[in-house]
Amino acid sequence: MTEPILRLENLSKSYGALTVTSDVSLDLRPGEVHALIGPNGAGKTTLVGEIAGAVTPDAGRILFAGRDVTQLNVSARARLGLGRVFQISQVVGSFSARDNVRLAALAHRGGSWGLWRPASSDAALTAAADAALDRVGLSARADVAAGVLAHGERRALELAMALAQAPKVLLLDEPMAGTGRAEGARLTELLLSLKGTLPMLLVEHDMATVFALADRITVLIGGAVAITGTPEAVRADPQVRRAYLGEEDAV
Amino acid sequence: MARMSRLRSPGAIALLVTLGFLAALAVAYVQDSTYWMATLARMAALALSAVSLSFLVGQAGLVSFGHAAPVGIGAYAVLIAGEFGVREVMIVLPLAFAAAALFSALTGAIALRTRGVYFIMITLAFAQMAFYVAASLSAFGGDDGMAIAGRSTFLGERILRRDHGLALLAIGLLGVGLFVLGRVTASKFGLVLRAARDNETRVRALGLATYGHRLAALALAGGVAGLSGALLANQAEFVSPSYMNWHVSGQAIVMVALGGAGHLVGGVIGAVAVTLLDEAIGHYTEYWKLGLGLVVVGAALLRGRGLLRRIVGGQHD
Repeated sequence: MTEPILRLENLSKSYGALTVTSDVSLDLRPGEVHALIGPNGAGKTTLVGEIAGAVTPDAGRILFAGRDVTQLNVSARARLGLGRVFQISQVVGSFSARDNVRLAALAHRGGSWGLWRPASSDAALTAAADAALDRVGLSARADVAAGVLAHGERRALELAMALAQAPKVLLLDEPMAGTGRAEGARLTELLLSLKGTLPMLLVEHDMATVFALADRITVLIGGAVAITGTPEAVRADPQVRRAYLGEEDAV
Repeated sequence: MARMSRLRSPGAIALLVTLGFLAALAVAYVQDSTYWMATLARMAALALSAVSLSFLVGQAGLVSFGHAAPVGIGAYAVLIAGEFGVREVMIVLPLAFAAAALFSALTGAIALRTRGVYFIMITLAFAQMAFYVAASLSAFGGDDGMAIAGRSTFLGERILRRDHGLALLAIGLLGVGLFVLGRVTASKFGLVLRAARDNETRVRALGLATYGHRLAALALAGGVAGLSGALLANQAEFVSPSYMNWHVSGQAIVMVALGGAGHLVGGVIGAVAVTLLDEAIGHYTEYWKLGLGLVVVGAALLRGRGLLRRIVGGQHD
């Protein structure tokens, strides 16, 4: 088995008496899509924060690309190659889609202290931005202000921004949140097209997306890992059915 | 589309503004109106200050309510250097820039730990401190201020003695200031600065640190404001703590808001509008600011995004 690119070891986090992450261990192997699911309040958001670097765990370690990153902040982890798509769209609304991706590419390539040459005249930067936009199918909307893009397009833009950073891992925090049926289907299609090119940790509510994409699924219940396994194993697990999927067949 | 964007390039805008001021100066010179030549010099200097504040407010999202402080420090640099017998422009201007940039960087290092209203308050507080320090400099006029030893010289020549000479310098610096700040705005550095203005969380998550960029922006804008102060000191041939008064900072914000913070040239438009209103109404009543207030309210009601958009329309970044 190949070495995992991202590994959480016995992570714990409490806010006072409330334990939100309880001895969580999971890993992400190269090329795989690992979905993290769980009912509301299972501690997914906190766990995403811990992985991204916004929340410091009380105990445990986070290893990323063979390095202990537990003490590194969000910026440092992003520079190491942890790409992230937010639950709530985080784009620069007044910028065009292309400038948003330019910004992301700039963060990856360096040179953010270039004071004199216009950012738009950097051919390599623009090419990187356009390539990422093309990959998510937003080329035609490159000059549109991000703030007026449709919701689904904005999610795709975020994905392009993450891709422009040539990440080693994509952390997808509920990419389907707030998308309509058609938009959601397009996004799932898009993520499927990226599958295999880079490992993704997918935190998602939408079960259709999870089962369409995931190679493995980890179910989080009450802050602890209930089960990690293939979609078939998780679907069949009685504990998961009871706690998460509900009595009737939700899948 | 491409032609429009070229017209909006920093070079084209700086050139247009410079030519506009030069044309006005030429008219004043032909008419031999020292009053208008002096007013144009003052107008260009105030515009330079407003442009640097517009860079902070509009591009970096840093609403400084203490912009009069670096302006005043630039003015005091001229006064103090003059007292020590240094009046050469090539020394005095860099000195004014450096002193004001240093002040802005030092106070900014602390002010940048805050955001929003707190940033406004802390910049105001630092400017008030500068005001009272200046008022306590009894060797340099204290409360009352002091006349400068004489206007600056250029490579030993006393070409600033005449008002059109000074106006030429002010217009030249305004053009250079607009061009440089315009380039910086469009640069990669500017891209990060503008992105952080809109969505700091996003910029951080991308792995970009914003503190250094903002600090550099504050220092640069402060330095440019210092140049403006050096010009104003030369124009009035007098320096006093009132340069740093808080209502001067407020007026600079009015200029930026009136002209539109979306584009640097808004600072020029606002400064020209405020100065002209001052000249037009100020002669009739000392309550001229009442008229200014009405104009500001009117502009806000009419468009809300500044005079530039009223005149030119369209999108400006």
